[in-house]
Amino acid sequence: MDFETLSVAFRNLRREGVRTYLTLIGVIIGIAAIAALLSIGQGLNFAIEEQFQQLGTNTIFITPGGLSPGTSSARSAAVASRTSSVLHDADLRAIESFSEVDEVIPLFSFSSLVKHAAETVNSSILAFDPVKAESLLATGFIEINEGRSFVENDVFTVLVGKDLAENGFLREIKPHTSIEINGKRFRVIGTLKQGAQSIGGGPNISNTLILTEKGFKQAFGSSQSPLFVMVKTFDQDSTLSAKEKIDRYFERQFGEKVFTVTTSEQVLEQVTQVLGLISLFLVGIAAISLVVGSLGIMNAMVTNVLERTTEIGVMKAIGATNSRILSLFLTEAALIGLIGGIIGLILGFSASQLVAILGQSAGFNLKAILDIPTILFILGFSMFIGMISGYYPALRASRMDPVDALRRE
Amino acid sequence: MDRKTPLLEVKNVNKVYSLGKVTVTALKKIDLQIFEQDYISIMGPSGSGKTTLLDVISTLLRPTQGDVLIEGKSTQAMGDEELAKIRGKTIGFVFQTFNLIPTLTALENVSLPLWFQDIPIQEREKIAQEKLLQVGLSDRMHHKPNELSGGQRQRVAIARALAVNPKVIVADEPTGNLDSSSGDQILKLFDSLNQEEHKTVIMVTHERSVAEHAQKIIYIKDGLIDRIEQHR
Repeated sequence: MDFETLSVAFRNLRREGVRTYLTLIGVIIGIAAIAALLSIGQGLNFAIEEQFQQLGTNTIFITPGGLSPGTSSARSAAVASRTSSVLHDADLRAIESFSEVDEVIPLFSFSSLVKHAAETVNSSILAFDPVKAESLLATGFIEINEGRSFVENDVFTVLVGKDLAENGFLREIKPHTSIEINGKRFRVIGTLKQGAQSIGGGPNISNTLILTEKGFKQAFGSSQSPLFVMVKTFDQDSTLSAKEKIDRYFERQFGEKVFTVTTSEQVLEQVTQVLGLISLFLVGIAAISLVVGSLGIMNAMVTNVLERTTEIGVMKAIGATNSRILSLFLTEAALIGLIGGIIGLILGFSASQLVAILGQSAGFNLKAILDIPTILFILGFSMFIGMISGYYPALRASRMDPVDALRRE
Repeated sequence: MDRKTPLLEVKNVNKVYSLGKVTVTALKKIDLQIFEQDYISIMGPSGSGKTTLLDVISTLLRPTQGDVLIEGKSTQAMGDEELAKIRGKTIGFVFQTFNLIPTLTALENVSLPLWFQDIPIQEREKIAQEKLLQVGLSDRMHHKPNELSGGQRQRVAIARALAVNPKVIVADEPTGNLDSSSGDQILKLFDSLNQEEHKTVIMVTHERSVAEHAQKIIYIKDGLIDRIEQHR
């Protein structure tokens, strides 16, 4: 395809005017939808991978409940073998004693009455050891708005989520004031930013109080069972054997699988797999609109060929070969695809950027990302769609008999 | 060139059209030899087969039977692509309705056949400018067809036909869509092409005054050559 074929094809498209524009719209919609979904999908993948990187690949998660289909029966069996499927300090100490394990970080969650300026409200509470949970904090889990974060020996200190601080009570909670949690006085050391984010877009913490593990135990007693436990191994290589040991430990203690033990890599794999499936599904739906767009190209090109029958006859009479006519019309169709692809890409990416910005302001770590290979793929694909749809009309044009074409009125 | 080898030769040609169940024989056993620098008019009533004959002579239309030779070479077994190239080099076409490409300027229209012959762009432009100068349109080179009068359009078409420096100019009713003074200018152009540039000119017309510009008038009737008149 040379520059002149391109220039002639471009002028022919401009001459067709409205027909070209309408055809373009069909392609633009399809490509824009695909580009938007791909860029959001890539952005989500990137954000999740980033969080897991910060969390460390040497992490194991322990959550209550088995992943196997027999979860409910497993639970009742567990109740029979031990009073309940809760983790005790002894379990955590046992896990910490494994040679591969560096640290065990339990996360507690509770809901309790909170008193501030003579007003009492029920609020959710999250607690962990701030020193041990450093890598968790590095994921951007908590961002301080005003005041400071925890330091090593903090006990009766509390961080307050943005919504709770501003709207939870009649009087706004400010740093350096104090609140009462389950009858104990806690000093507010800071408030959190909106948009603080949990792993993989988890629960919104802007309505939550955050305590240190020590403070939590002072308020609610030391026999509380953690909601969720993070286990850090010394290095990534020992993560898998540590997971197996923990699994065996739970089997011995509880008889059946009442806890799910997953490595961060497994979680990442599962999350990206699900995400990949969802985006594939969505892109598939978007592709349907592209099929309609490509039928539009075919329709427009068939009409172009019919309208320009005499012109094709003339070109053939003055020496144009069949392949020249074919390439001229194929170039036109490819150009529709390419121009539609470029505009669609810009529109689709802008739309997903807008969604990402809206999402960020609503507190989600959402980004729209399109890497160069994907951009090239989309442009190449849209051109390819144009050529595929234009092939049949172009072939018809190239095979026209010059005399028939010339004499047709 | 050897006067014995015709530039174009029609050998025992039949052309049959089938229109559904009816078949129409448009040309019957036509034999014709056209030599370099001939100036020929083809006349005949409508439906006589004169345009079909022109299409066959100019190898746009393949005969049902018989052969057409270009400079002694048979076109019967040639593929479409090869024939298109040879036709593009040997024959320049002028049509009744001009048939310029509306999106292209006069200069680009004249360059078009050169593009089809894969001649480099600088050379193409130079030749196209020369040819437009020759037909007296050097001041209209960058105009689109819809900015030109009928006579001017036909002159662009003639410049286009001349671009590849063909030996033969084939014209189908070239003055049919023009007023008489524009028509006269076009015919004068054909006359000078034949006399000064030694081009072979073959022209279909139904006007006797137009036909008389040629040295030879071929009368067609019912698909047969009725008679041939010599002039000048």
